[in-house]
Amino acid sequence: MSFDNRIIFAPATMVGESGITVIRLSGKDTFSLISNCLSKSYAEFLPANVDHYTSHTTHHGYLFSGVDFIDEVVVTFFKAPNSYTGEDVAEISTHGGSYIYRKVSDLLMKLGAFHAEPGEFSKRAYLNGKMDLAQAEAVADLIKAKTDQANKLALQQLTGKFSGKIKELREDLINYCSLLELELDFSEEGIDLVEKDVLLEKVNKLITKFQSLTQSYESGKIIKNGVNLAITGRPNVGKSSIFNYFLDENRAIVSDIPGTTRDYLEEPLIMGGIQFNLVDTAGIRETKDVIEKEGVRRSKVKIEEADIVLEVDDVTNSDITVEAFSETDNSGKTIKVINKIDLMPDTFNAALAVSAKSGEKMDVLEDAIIAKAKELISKNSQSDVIITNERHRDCLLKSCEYLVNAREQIEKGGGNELISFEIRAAMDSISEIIGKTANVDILNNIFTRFCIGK
Amino acid sequence: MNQNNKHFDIIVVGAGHAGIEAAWTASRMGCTVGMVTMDLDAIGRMSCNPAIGGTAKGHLVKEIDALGGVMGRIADDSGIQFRLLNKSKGPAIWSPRCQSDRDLYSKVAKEYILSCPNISLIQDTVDELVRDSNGNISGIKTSLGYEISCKAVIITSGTFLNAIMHMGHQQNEGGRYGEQSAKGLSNYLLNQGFKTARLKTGTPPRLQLDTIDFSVTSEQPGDDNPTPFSVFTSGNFPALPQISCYLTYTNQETHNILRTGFDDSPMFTGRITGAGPRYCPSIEDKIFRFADKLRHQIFLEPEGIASNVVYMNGFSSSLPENIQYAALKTIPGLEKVKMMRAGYAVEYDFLPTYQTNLTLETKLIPGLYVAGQINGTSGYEEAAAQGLIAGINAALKIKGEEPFILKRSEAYIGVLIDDLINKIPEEPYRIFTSCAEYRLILRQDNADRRLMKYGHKYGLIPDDIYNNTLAKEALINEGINFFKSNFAGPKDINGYLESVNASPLKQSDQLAQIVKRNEVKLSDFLAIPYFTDNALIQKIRQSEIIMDQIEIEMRYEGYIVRQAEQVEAFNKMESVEIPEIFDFNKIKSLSTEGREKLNKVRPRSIGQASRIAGVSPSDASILSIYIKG
Repeated sequence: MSFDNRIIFAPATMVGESGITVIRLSGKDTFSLISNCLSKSYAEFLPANVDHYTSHTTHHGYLFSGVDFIDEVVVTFFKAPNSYTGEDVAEISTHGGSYIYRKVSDLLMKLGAFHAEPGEFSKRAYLNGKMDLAQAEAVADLIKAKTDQANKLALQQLTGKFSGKIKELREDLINYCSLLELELDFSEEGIDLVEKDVLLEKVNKLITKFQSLTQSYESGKIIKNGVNLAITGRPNVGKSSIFNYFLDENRAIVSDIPGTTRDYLEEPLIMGGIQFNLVDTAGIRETKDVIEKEGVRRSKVKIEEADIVLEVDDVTNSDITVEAFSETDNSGKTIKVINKIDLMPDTFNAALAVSAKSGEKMDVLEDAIIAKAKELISKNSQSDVIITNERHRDCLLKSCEYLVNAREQIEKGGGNELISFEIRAAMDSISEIIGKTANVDILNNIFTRFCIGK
Repeated sequence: MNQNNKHFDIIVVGAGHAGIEAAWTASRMGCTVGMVTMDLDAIGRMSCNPAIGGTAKGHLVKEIDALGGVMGRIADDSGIQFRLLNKSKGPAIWSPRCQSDRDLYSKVAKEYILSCPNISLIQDTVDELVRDSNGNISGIKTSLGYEISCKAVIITSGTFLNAIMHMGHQQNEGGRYGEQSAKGLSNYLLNQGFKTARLKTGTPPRLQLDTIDFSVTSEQPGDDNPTPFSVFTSGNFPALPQISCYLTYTNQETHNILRTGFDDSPMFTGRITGAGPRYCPSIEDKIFRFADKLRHQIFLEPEGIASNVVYMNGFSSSLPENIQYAALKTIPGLEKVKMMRAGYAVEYDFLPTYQTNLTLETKLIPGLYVAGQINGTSGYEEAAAQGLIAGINAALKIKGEEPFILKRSEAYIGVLIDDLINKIPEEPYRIFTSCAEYRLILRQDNADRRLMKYGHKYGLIPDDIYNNTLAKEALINEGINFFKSNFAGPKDINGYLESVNASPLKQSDQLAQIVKRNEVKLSDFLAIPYFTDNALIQKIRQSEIIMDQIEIEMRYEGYIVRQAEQVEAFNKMESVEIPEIFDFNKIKSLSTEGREKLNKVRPRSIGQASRIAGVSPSDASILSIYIKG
């Protein structure tokens, strides 16, 4: 089966009780399909003059399935290649509601259109040369972005700034390769040869660029997916109370029985314009309860994965000292906090001491968390472009590995043909990011990650 | 021409380097061949540089040899200086080259052709092709009025189609100094619907040897112990006395004089419209484009042992004769030189290669093959490689057998033809090692191991030579396995390691690890007493070639393995076939340029499609998704 000549459709907005639902169609015969169901009158089927509509215009009409009137609609037309997919595209705005959507969906299928697969519109846009691979991926990120920063990064990728950076690096690699090849193929012809230390310096610079770009993924990942913030500590220090406080709801069950939280809980949260994944963990302790044991194991995994760990203790613990809590290790990922100061007011003035119950000094804790998150983000974003995509990071890592091989060859006086082999491999790897190396499997993998309609 | 013999299986038009290989291979494969040339004395003439091989070109010669062609044998028989170039680089880049005795090369080439009972030489010019009612080739018509029937024609006309020679304002018709141009055939092809385009090439002045003062130049001798190109060459090698070449340089004065002729240059005045090779520019081009370069190197290459002619490599020019002469006399060593012939440029027609299949058969006329400079290449070696492929394929077609296409991953010849067909060069194409993405395994030293199986299969390599290669292959593999599966201890080999300043072993280690060390020279290592009683090692030691192969294979192993993985990925794409009758027009989402190029070239696999110039990666992935469904 070839995808090419099929008309695909999908709702471009949420389907449900709403003002309108927009259904997007794309494919070669989209306009003739519309002319088979769009009527100028609601009383009877009077075909609209779709063939005469110009691109980027919107038209009012009535949808008919045979002789049955379905809905009053507005249709926007985009003619190839000036559309999102590069094909003929129509967007039908129907009244909202899942029943209407089902009726229209049935009608479109009857007329020969197919439900779009996830990401199929973007896939077509890519295949029709409307955007490169990294840009296509950015569309998915843009839709999913929940914070200003995530939105900015997705936009930066969509507008091609990221692709531009990759192309720039690729150009550099092509240039170095050319230098090496020149010496290999033309050494008999009296050309000026490249100095090995000059090349070494260039490759070193490039490795640094690659590393900072790869490193930026640590920030990019956090911006895109959120900061993993795990609340940990002994049983019954009030972890769940802090969790609930930040969420502003009684999400976790709170009691004074140690071990109330047996499995971890995870909720998204936005603080200071940064997205967090807040995780409430089971208090770590030796236990015979098999369920709690499993909860403890899972909690340990979550703590391992966390970007920031909120280590909670409470004022009733006689072992703790103010000093221990004032020595917050800034370079690490841990923030130590003392809870339940409402029980012993004024005891821990100097330390990060709070009461989740009364809310006292919780704003100080929030600020501390935000500061740490910002520090995490800025620490790894030295390059002007930030990577948010794991696939890109992997390609860059591989590429960087080949460059390190190349450096090794240069340093030990290896032949140009070997240095060139490594640089070519590096080039192929980063080319995969923008899809310059045709690999259908990568493509399919990428496109299935998209939400329907884009 | 023998009036009784008016039929051949194959007519080869031209007797240059492509024609020779085409006629030789086809005749060896059992076809009768009529070889039509304008001049029986010009067989295998070296119209430019009296040299064979060089970077990447030497690889081609070794491959031609492994497939049973004759270029390597002729070069061995007529070589007067042999060198392995790029010895300071890795083995993948080593390239054999020889300086040839120009007259002798041509004489030896003619002897090889005359030694084939299946080949008849015909002095005439082909004006027209004759086709049967199905459009297939059925014969040729000549200038002398003969009509000869045949089943296939291989055109190897070099630069002779509509050729014009330029020197200053002077223009003469002709493809080579003192020789005619072939106009009839060019017009015939145009009338049949072929598209032609113009290319340009040039050649430098020839100097009188005994008027050169070599004492102020630097001598460039050949290798002390040269190795031949050919597996067929045995016994006394090199057969001829060996000579040196000489290096000198142009200077500012030379450049100033040359500049005075720019107004008269056919290149600068636009009389030459064809594209010239950027990698082999004329001296005026070099001065114009690299104005800041103070000097350019000039190699003075004797054209033969008894010859009084010297080829002035690096000084190709189409400026007026008096300016060339005045300029070259400013060069050290050439102050009193006599110029025997001035340099000139040749402009000629070629058939852009989208009209040709990978077998070198034209798409327009079944049974018509084209090889050599007519396809836009430059160089004897590139021409010969194509002649060989065209000859083999024409013979296979007549026999009704499957065509022979070498992949990019198998041979430089595969790279050459694949580039020609898919990249559609717009300047004369020359092979480089950088054209071969799998060059770490496509080495000149293993050409026989890579390709002789094909030469043998088609009857171009005799059993005894093939069996030698098989035995060699077996011994190499046995040797490598031995080094990988055996260990040596400190007391066994530390004496040797210390003697070559390599760090001694502390505990026993795999022999392979020792062999891979840079300080270790395999031939010396295997000579130590530790191996005296080892029959396999002693057998390996008898052959330098085998030791070299083992050394290269083991040192390069990591890279060879990675390259093999790349080849596997490449072959996967090559094996996704596009049906012969596939309609590219039905894929609307292809870019306009991509669709146009796909229609022109008509690739047979996704891999091939992705290499076509003008087909974007996005086009290739669309095609791939479409084909795979």
